[in-house]
Amino acid sequence: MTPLLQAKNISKQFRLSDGKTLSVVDTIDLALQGGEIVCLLGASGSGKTTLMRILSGVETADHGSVQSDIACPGAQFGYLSQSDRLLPWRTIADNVTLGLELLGRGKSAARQEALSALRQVGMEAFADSYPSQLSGGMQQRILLARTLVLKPRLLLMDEPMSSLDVLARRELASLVKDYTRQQQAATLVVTHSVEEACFLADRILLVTRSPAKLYKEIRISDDKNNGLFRGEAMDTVMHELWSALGAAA
Amino acid sequence: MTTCFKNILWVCLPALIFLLAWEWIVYDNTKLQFLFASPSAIGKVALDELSRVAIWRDVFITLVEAALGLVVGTMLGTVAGLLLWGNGKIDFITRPYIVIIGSIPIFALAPITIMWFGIGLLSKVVMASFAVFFVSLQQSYDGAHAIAKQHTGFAKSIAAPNNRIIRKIIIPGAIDWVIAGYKMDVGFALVGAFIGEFVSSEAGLGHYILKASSLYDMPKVLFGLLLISLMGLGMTSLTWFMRRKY
Repeated sequence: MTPLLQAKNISKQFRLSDGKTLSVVDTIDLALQGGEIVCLLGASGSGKTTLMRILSGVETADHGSVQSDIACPGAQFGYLSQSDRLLPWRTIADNVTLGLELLGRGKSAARQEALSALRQVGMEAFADSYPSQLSGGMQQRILLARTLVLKPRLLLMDEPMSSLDVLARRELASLVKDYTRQQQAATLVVTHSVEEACFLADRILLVTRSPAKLYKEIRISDDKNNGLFRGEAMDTVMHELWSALGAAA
Repeated sequence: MTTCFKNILWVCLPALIFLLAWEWIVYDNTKLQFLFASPSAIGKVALDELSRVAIWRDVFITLVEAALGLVVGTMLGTVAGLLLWGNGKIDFITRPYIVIIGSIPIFALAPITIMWFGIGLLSKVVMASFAVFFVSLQQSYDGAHAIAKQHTGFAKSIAAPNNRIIRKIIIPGAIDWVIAGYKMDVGFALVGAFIGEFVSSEAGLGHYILKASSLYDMPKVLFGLLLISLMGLGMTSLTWFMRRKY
């Protein structure tokens, strides 16, 4: 099966103010298939965000290539970055319709879709509120709704659930999983949470501390699909992940 | 007693103390009364003047000059700021000129505007607009830059057309910045209109104060200043209302 996104041999260096160079991403290969969720796990400052920016087209790699049938940037592409913010002068519903409006959809039709997306993330009651009236976690849900309402086929999310409580994390992770399966989308999620990665991912990619280099790949999709991925099986994977994370750092 | 009423009392208290101290210091001293007037003398002037049509005409003229200058200056400044943000080359070429022209003290321009536009309403509106223009230009320019940096990542990731990004994100965001700087604009518009009237005019509060000061009528001068302050307060309150509604 042709991957929806394929990155080959990606490397990136930054020039520092003292003239030295800092290698941030080192020869990473990555392929994302339709209908699968891949989690990228690694220490803080390991270069995961830079890799996401390269895959999303925001940043260019020094070496390597990114190929995809889906235009990045493009209408079928959803990128939820850490620095994304809601527009403070728009209501919550209007923030969710923003992407649709930017792509030329009428405001009233877009509002119906926005309300449905808000229902999905449990925020319909706040449709007419302003972002300043919402907590950080609530705003993160809205950002997710703003991305999912566009029905992207390729979804890149950089720590999308970092400021949510445990229950909300589980709820939204389920939403992302269902979305990925239903739309046959390819989803790449950067996270620091081993538990979240285990719950969400079909594959987990562990990267080393800066420069980000692929250290280990753990596949857990088969057990998950068979409903066997729980109890001892999950403990084993989590144990393996914790050990690998320690070694990668 | 409600908290709101208590707060108003607290805010008024320093003014009350100041007025009482003022009245007490100048009481029975004609020299001090001549130089500083007294709250009671200003009160008498106020009662006398407010019953005449002439002062209301002066207030109305200054208000119209400042309000028109505020609207025209804000609109032109906002559009210019957005145009400069949108075109890096024009921005690069015009930036030094804007800094140079923006540095000219508004008072220095007054004689020129009087010569070009006469002593009527137009010259005062031009002065007020000029005073507001550069503040609005800088606000909308900075606002557009900040909004583009903070809020266009998502729009770019979905390859939204530039014209829609500008229409849906940049312009509303920059206007939000301009409104945030509106309080400052109100002050500048009043200063522009007032200086215009001060240099040459037939009516308006600037004219009223100039006439009173030439007659060494300190209570009238201070009453004129009080009216200008109240006008500024009224216009700023309107901004507060706009922001709340927004």
